[in-house]
Amino acid sequence: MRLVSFGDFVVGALRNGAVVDLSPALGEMARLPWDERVPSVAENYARLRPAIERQVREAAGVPVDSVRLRAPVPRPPKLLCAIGNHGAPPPPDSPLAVDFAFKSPESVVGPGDSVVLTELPATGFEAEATLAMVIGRDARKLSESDALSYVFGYTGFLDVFAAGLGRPNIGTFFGKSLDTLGPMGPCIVTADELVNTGDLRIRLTVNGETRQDFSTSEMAISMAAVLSAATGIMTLRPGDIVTCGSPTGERVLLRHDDVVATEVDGIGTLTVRVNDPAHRAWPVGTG
Amino acid sequence: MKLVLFDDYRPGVLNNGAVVDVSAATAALGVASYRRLMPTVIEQFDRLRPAFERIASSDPGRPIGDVRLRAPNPAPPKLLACFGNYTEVARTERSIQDMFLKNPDGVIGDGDTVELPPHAATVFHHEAELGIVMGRRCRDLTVDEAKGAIFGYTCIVDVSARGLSIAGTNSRMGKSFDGFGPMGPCIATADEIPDPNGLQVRFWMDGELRQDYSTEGMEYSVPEVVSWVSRHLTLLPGDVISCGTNHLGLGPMQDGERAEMEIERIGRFRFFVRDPSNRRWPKSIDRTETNPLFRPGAMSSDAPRGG
Repeated sequence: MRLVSFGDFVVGALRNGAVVDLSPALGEMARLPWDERVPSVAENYARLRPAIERQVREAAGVPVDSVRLRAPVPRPPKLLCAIGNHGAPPPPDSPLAVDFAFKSPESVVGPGDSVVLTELPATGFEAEATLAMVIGRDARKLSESDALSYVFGYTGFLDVFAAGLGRPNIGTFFGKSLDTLGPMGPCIVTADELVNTGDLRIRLTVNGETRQDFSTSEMAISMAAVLSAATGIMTLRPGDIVTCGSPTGERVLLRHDDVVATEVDGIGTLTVRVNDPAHRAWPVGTG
Repeated sequence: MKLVLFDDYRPGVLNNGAVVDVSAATAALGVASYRRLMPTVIEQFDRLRPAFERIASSDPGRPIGDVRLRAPNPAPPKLLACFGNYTEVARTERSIQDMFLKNPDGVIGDGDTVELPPHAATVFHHEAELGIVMGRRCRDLTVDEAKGAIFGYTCIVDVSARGLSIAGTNSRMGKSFDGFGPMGPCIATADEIPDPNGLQVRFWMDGELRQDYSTEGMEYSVPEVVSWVSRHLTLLPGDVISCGTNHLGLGPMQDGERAEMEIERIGRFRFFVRDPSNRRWPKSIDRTETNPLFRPGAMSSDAPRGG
């Protein structure tokens, strides 16, 4: 199943270029607050699945181009990003197996939206493409072998951050959380349909030029290890997002009017446009 | 007004040592999720307040000791925290403002227990802090506008595992384990706190007073903190901003201990510490290098400061 959010945060599914409104299959769940719908569908998917499949089979859809797609999890309760998933894996005696940083749930935007480079004195806005895991049930202290069975589905994510804000030499934390720096989409592909997640090709293009091109197999830390480490720190809930990070170690500097596409094999392409109201030339300062 | 959640996360008002159940006034909100209740009450508070006052004036309530207090805001939409924001040593100028996000599901309440994780931290510290509770959706507030967007205040402990990193990185995950955000006992609405930068914060471990400082020492005042955050991201009703701590009285947390925290005009709450690994540290204020305040060079006026 390929799930989307569209319009007024209606839950839908993609079927051959059409969007099908799933509301009739969701009952009361379709009338939850806008940000609770997809997490609730993820949590209850096994029960809802027959009705959802029937709806997708039988209902009329509308062309996907005729709706406004939203981020498939428009406001995840938690958005946790693995950082530094490149180079050599951490030594076995490292007190943390994987490092993470939170992004603000309010940073999330969807396909076709703009990434706005705020006029704060950043030295640059940098981006990396990554695979995002959408959690399906309460997940706590998972082993690597169990971890991926808690994943409801996968989507694409562009992790943008503002460099050079805040205190020097203590790492970038808040610079990841500015509004609009979390494009997500275009859809969630449920875990049963996305095969070969261990070797999935991800490409980032800017204005049509390829800037990142890698496979999830190149990550220093596997998806299962990322999720196991995250759940060793905190309980994850349905609708929470964990992103894997990029194995390239390089980040792409964004500029005004750039068209940035994140393409994940089997999921699709998430395209956003960059809007820098100040039209700055980057990088600035010591970045 | 002092708002609480109690028993099965029902809303209440604290009134002269009693908890008055005001759930009759919130039933019409139709909020099914306990996580969502307090943010919704906050969003609708102007409309709800007369009903809360009416109920509290006629219902004597139950003695506070007879109810199970919960965290007053058990899963804030966002939980933000300042990096060190207190003038602990003489500085020629203020530090650069900076913040991070903490696990909003790590909040626990009065009488709950923090379980220390097995991770090889050098120490687990208590950072008692004033928590700002936001009242409305907002962004890009000036310092003057900021106060009007604050709903109220609460007590929060930013529990911090030190020394968790990979190859010298400066991880913040040591502050986001489950249970690492004890909060209580209530949210005092802003009208109860005329000067949020004139409050005494106290923290005891097994009865020993560890932290005892005034919020007057904040490098950036409460409205400055709110304004700064709002220039970076959109704030929602119920978001909590923890104002940072004065590191002078930090100490280890370890198995079997009973912690208490109090801020004047807000109240006092307690929680417990459990460590299945049963690690031991000196039972006193930490003046070693694991306390960021006592790291080499930290006393110099221009040292970059972590949390």
